[in-house]
Amino acid sequence: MKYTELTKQFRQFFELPLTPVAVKFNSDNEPNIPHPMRYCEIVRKAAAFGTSYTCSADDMSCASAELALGFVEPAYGDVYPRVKPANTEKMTVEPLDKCEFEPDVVVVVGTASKLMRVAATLSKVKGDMVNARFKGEFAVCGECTTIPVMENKVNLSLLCAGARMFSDYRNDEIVFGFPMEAFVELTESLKEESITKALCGCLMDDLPARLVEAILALGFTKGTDHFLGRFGDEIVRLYIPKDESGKSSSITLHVPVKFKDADNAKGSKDVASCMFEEPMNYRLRDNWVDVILLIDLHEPIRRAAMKTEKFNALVNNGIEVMLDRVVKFKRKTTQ
Amino acid sequence: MKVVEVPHSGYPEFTIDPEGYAEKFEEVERNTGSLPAMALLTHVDYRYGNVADAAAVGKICKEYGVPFLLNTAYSSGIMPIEGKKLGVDFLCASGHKSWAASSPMGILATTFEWNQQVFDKSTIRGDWSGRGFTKKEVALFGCSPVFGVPVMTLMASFPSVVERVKHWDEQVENARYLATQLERIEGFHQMGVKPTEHTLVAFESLPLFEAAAKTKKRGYFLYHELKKRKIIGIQPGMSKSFKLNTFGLSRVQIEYVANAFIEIARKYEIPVEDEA
Repeated sequence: MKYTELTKQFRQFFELPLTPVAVKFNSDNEPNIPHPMRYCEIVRKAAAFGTSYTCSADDMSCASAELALGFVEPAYGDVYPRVKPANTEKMTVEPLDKCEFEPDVVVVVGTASKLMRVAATLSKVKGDMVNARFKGEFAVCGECTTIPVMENKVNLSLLCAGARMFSDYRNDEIVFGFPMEAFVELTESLKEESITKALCGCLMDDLPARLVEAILALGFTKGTDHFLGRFGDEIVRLYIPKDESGKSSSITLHVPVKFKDADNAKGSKDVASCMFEEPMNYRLRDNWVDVILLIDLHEPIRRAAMKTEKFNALVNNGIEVMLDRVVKFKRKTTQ
Repeated sequence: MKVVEVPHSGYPEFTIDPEGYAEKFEEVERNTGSLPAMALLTHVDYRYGNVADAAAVGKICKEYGVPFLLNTAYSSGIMPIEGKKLGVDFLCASGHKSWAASSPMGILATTFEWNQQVFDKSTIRGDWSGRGFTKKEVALFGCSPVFGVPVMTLMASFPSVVERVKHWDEQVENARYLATQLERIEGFHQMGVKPTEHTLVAFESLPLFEAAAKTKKRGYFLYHELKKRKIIGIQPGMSKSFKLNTFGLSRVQIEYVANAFIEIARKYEIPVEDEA
């Protein structure tokens, strides 16, 4: 099967109990549906029970779906969304993992909490918000099949009364409709560390992406719980401390200076503490002295990082001060 | 369940101040009207190998009357631990981390007083048959994988554990030696408490990261360079910082590891200080 691996990867990553469903307009298959059904019912059966049906206009028991999917032209006025021109003669709906044809649309049924994760990942892949268009009518047919195929856009639907009442959709289920290319792009991105890593709960994830980007742009790289980078002759560490309530409105720069032994380091630390004024700090750690500079941002760091020029100037100035003090510190002490 | 955290000291030591527990107990009492249901301390943190002052936390917990759970995943089994001296009410450990046993296996130890509640057996009786079900160990339900081989491996590890904890100080000395040797390499810096009090040590190594950019294997080069020298264990892909645990290695083996790092540094033209 062409899409078995893709389906497996998607379902495993998002922990979906139901299979994504492949939909093909005007497929080569012959209608085989046992009795007329609603389109949304056919989709859910395929997702839950793995059924594969091909249906024609005669097999549709929902007039809205007939219109939305382009089996018939509207008699009066127009409706949105619908397949234009209405040239659909038959449609095949089957689980994506069993599908041998190239689907036009992939429909994903899941609970709100599962599809929330799909939305978060989709947003990272596209680098934009997920723009959903729905009105609680023409849901699986119009919002999640017609819009993806006619507008080439991923769409989300809260379903419609018919789907919930007659087609066995659970109260907590909603539906995503993907153009096939968008589904493939999303699923393939699940292999990319940059997309999935942010969901793993690492410590760096506590920091807003914009802040991390601002710090990396200054020449730092990510460490374990901090950033580090080479500036001049020194490796400077940047750490974001939190106050007692867990808020951050300052950063600290660190350069650990190594001494021959602990006694030497202690003597040097005492010298440094007397010699240099605020805002420098010197902390003894065995045979090392950590030279520390506190930069007070006077506002939450998230907000400070948004003012790029000011933030960069503050940190760059801090790095300059730090390098200058470290040179003086090393000159005045015996390493 | 609501969790309140005791803050750590931040870069570069990341230590926990036991007094932070007293402050948090009072904060919780002020906000909720009652003390926390339990205090948890991870004895040795998995990231930097810092050994927290469990006895001081135990004392504070006793003063406030808050039950104290000590997570000894990286301490019991390799270093001497006495629950009574540390004032713990519960002590848990991973058999497969520091007890030389297979997974899934863990240990939960508690005091006589708590034992009655935690390991209480079922007390139900059917109203029609009058049959009593009084032998079921309710706390151990759902852990069937541990009955059998894993529990046997844990039991088999006891004699070895009893013996090896006697040599903990030597093990820490070895880790300190390695830290001293690696810090001869430019840009290498041991994070956490210095000198280290544990065999798990974390290093920053930006020059290796810079060297990685010039190699075909990128960040994986350190893993491969070590593997070539028959050293495994460093997480593949790590180069700007890494952690390692020297537990169980002899001094000769530690010297071999230190020399390997120095050799790799020299190969990639990273300056190395002469030995003192």
